[in-house]
Amino acid sequence: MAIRRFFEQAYLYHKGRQAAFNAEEFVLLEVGYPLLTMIFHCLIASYCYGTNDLGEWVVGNSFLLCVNSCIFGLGIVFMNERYTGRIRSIIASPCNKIALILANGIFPAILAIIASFLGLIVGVIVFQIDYSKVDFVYIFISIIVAMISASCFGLLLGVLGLLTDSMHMVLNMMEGLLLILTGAEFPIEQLPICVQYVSWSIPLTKSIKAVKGIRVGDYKNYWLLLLLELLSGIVYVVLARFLFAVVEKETRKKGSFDYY
Amino acid sequence: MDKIIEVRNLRREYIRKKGIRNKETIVAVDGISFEVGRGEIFGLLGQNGAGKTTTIKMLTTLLAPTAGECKVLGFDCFGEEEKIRNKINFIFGGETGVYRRLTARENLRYFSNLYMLNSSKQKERIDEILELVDLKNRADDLAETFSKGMIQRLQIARGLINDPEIIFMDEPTVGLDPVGARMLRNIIIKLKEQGKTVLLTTHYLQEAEELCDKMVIMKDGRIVKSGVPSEIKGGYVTLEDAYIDLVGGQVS
Repeated sequence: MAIRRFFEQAYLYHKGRQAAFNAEEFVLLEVGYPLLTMIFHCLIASYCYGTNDLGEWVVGNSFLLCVNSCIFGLGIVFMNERYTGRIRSIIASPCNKIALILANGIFPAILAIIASFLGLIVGVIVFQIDYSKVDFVYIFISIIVAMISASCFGLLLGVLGLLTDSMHMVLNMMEGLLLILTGAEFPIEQLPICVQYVSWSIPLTKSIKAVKGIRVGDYKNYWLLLLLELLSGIVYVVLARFLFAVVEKETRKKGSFDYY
Repeated sequence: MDKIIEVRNLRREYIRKKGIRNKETIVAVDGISFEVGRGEIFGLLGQNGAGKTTTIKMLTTLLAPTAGECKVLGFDCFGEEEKIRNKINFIFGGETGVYRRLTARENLRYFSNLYMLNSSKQKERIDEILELVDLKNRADDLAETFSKGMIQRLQIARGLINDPEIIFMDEPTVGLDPVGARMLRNIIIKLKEQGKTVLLTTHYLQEAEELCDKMVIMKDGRIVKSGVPSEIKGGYVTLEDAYIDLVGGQVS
């Protein structure tokens, strides 16, 4: 019963808030725009590093395709609820708030998995990357784990939307940080040590490193890195729940649930 | 009569920023007290900015009081809210609060899930409520194709989805045409017959007089008069005249 309700809520959340009206809109928004962004970043890398072997950048940037649905999509969830006056019904209901937060993330995570996998395939075709020695099952598992972690991170950011009305600024900044710090564009070893700690604490870094490793035949740390990525996701959700409780209490004191 | 809403010396302040450093304290509700008995229809009347919505927000656990006591069903609205939320619901006027990209039925499924209704009860309840608010024929149409009045009726349906013991209604007839407003009044009377308690704010005094067992008139966050409608009216012919006199307007 609870599982049925959870998935029904996930579907209704998604349809009610973000579902595109027609197939063209959906394809352009969820696939077209992210793919063009990925190709753009790979071309810049090709120019900067003077190389035609763009395998590393295709991996990193295809993982970053999740930014669209996981960071921007989920990051504004609660802010939108405040704008539309629906947050009252959510807060004043007796539902389990952790289930509510998680249900928000299901469809964006699925979309992100599809977008990343498509991105990888398109990247391999467009830039003629040799993946013949790589088992795609491993890549697919990495993508699933990475997108779960990214969705959980997006939910954590989304809770901030109960506090601030500057979420677009927060999310744009976060996109920039993910580009710089996840190792998608250049190795994180090139970053200062203290920034490397930040890199390891954000989503995608571990899974990008895992896939880059198996691309060159290094399977040694693959499962460990994915486990760390998954654990990060769990930590983000726990933090999101905790933050939600704190923020809920604070906004009830301040009276800042509604925008109007 | 069993008192299920108890408000004592309730006060709510808002801090508003003025410039970078300066802050201003605004008193929205200033030490009000009243009680509502089970099965009553209770009216909160007053001008815009009188503190009615702030009072309702505190009673519906959405806002913490600055001082005073605010109890629903014997539980504190701030601190014991989990014991209250399943048994209350609210209807705020206006066009917000529903998902426009969902159908009426999907909206109600979504909101009933928030109250954890089981699937057989959910289906039965949704059909019953859609019939009640006269949206059964449009149940599977997207809410964005609805008129303002229909969205308001969907809001009413949302507020009744968990079969609450107490329903808080903040200007529920805003945006409704006369037929819709009459329908809502009939729903309120029906709820009273079922033993439900309704706390209502409205600017339509005739509506308040017709529906309310008791009422309070608020002005600048304070209660200026309370009682049954005939007591509020006092020597005036209509409730409107008495109201205008109480809130400091000019009775012609």
